[in-house]
Amino acid sequence: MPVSRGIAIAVVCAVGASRSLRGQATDALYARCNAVSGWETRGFAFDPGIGTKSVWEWTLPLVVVAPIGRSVSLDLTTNYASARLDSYAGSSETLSGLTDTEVRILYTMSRDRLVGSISFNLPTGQHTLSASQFSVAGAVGSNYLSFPVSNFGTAFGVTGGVAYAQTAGGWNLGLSGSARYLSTYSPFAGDTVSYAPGMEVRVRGGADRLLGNKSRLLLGATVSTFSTDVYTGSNALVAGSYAPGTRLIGDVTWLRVFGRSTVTVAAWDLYRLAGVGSTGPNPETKENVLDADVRLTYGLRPGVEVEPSVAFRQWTPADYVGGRLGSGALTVRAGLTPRLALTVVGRYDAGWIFDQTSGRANLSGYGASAFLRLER
Amino acid sequence: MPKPPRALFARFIALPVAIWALGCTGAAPSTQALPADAPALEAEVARHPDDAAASLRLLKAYYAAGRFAEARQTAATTLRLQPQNDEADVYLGLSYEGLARFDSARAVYSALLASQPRKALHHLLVGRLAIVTREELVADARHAVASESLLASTPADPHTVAVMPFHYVGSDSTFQPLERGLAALVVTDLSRVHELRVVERARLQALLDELKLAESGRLDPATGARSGRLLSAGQVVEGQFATEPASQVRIDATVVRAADAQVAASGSNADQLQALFDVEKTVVLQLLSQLGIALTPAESVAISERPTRDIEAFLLYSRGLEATDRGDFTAAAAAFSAAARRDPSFGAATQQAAASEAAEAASATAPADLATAAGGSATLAPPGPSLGLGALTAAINAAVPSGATLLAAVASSGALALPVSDPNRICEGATCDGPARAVLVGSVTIIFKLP
Repeated sequence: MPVSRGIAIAVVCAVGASRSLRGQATDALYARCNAVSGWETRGFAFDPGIGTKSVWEWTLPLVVVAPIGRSVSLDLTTNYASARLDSYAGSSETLSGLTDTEVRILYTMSRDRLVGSISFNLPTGQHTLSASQFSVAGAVGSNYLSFPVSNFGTAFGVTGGVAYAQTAGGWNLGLSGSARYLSTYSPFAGDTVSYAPGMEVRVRGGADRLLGNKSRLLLGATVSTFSTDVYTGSNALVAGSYAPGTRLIGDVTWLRVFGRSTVTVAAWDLYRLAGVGSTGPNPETKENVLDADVRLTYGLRPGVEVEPSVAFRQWTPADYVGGRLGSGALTVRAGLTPRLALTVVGRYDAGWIFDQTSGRANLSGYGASAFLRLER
Repeated sequence: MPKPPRALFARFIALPVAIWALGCTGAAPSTQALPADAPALEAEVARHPDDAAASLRLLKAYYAAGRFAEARQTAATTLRLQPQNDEADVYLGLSYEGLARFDSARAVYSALLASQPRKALHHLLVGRLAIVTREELVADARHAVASESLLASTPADPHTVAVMPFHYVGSDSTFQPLERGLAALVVTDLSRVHELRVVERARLQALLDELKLAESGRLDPATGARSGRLLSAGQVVEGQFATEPASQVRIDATVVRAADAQVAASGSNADQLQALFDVEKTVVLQLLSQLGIALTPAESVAISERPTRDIEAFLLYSRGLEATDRGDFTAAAAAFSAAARRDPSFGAATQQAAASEAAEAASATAPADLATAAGGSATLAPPGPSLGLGALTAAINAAVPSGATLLAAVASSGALALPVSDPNRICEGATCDGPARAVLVGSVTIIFKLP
């Protein structure tokens, strides 16, 4: 399977590239064939208090983007990931394997103005897990800790969307919407429970403009609403339904150029309203994640940048603060050749996590990644 | 029952409408590429590497940000995509100036001039060349001073002559500008002699300015010899002049060998002020004779030519040289023009007036306007949303998330201002935080709420 997938990716890339070379003036959103891969690891170690000792994950991502003809581009994303969870009780669980594969087709209806998209989630990952594997998958699925691969697999899905951009005065505006369908799947090995996620409908509005001649401000707001999830089961679970709460994401970015440097201040907030289950509202499903970061990007010489950054994150499940995390990172980007670029990142996190049942535990995190980007 | 999405659409449709309304009251869109546009334009060019207009906008943004090395590379890319793009050519020249590669800048401007551009652009390019030449002379002087120890050990060419400004020893400041005027006359005369190579007057002046010697007026043989070595000139002409008693002029000059600061030749003459040119040429001929240089008849005739018969015009011309050395092209243009008006046959004054006026216009013209004069905005696509950090890309990536956003994070430079973590790609599924897991929490006890 991996071999055949690799061949498919190579064919897509080769066909796309050859066509793009023939059609120099492409309108496709991605005009060149690009491939990104590398290695990334992220891990967190917890002080005693919540039972979990550490969670680590490493991934091998593969992203391929290729123009197909004049107006279409295609991108494909998949990962090989391995995650490990160690507990203070002495247990250790590992989950490894391919994740789902996303294939997205973008059709430029009007260059820089209107793009339509259809994306397929191919269930090449692991959506049916044993109880021990589920604990690992649940750990890396944390919105608070944001692992590079937060989901090892779901089911076949289709997402259709459209985006429109327009200038208005000094603003650049972008408006987009999408609808996602995900088919039914069985999350647990050895259990008949079946889970049918509801549809997600997403709307985003974005705007950006210059402030003076060296600054830019970007704003964005995304709203997702979900139709009701349905689950059925005969053993541990019984039939039921759940109406997820609406999810709102707001983001703001300000950047300013200082000579060869660019300072970027970015923040986003994810807020999810409480959902309603079969037995009534579930306030535990309310959640807020606030993330803010400051980056200084400095061009050492053409094609080589260093980017120190600091970040802050606060997680508020329900109505209490569930954790705060401070992070520092250093990124180096270098163009090795005109077609090959390398990005290396190192990061450190420190903070704490709190659970009303288990209490509070300090945590520290480490991360490193090295990505290569090849352009044809 | 499934929750109808229509109600939620209605609830949140106000947001994009509000943003739209806010945008309509915003400032006029900028048609210039500004430093803050660079990251967006890098992404734009990455997406459309064959788009000459996008490349040109990125070039402008780099130049505006003072990122001249990147600007030069992008100019080359733009010109590869669109070889006849004069605007990119101008930015290439400007970028070379920013990199202090004045010879390359001069080559670019000269090539543009050779392509017979429109009159307005021709005028500006002539001026830009004058400015570049001056910048180059200053840079060369600094380099020479910095490399003095190396130059001191390098034998100077004995046939190369530099002419120092003549030192005025009188008290009437009216005649002070003749310090440069007389030096220019001697340079012109010596350049008629095929056996000699003469250092440009402006080049020597730039060196003296760098050495801070020009204002002191203390130009002794040792100073002259040092200047000669710095300019690789084997011989240096030094001199002084006086205008007293009234209506008289006296010129004394020597030729100093740069190698040992010894006087190789000297000349002196005096006469009525109206005979200034005769006095100067007599001194020049004395110097050449003592140096053992036998003039051909043609050289003798050439040296005997007077630039003007009007002493007042020459005085104005000398003021123009003074102003040029200060970099004051406005004053220089006024003085040279006045000289040319007094004596329309004064060719050097006419030429210098035109060059100074062009330099004045060029120095008063912003680089962007100079480039616009070269190409206008006709070669640019209308400013679109793509200028706004990929408004369309951001919109589609947020609505239909994809791992392709990783491309921007791994760009060799100028990554989009993406958050370190993308909230639009949060985990959705049975194992993830959020609704799906919430459905199962409490029903299946093996799920860990916390990591």
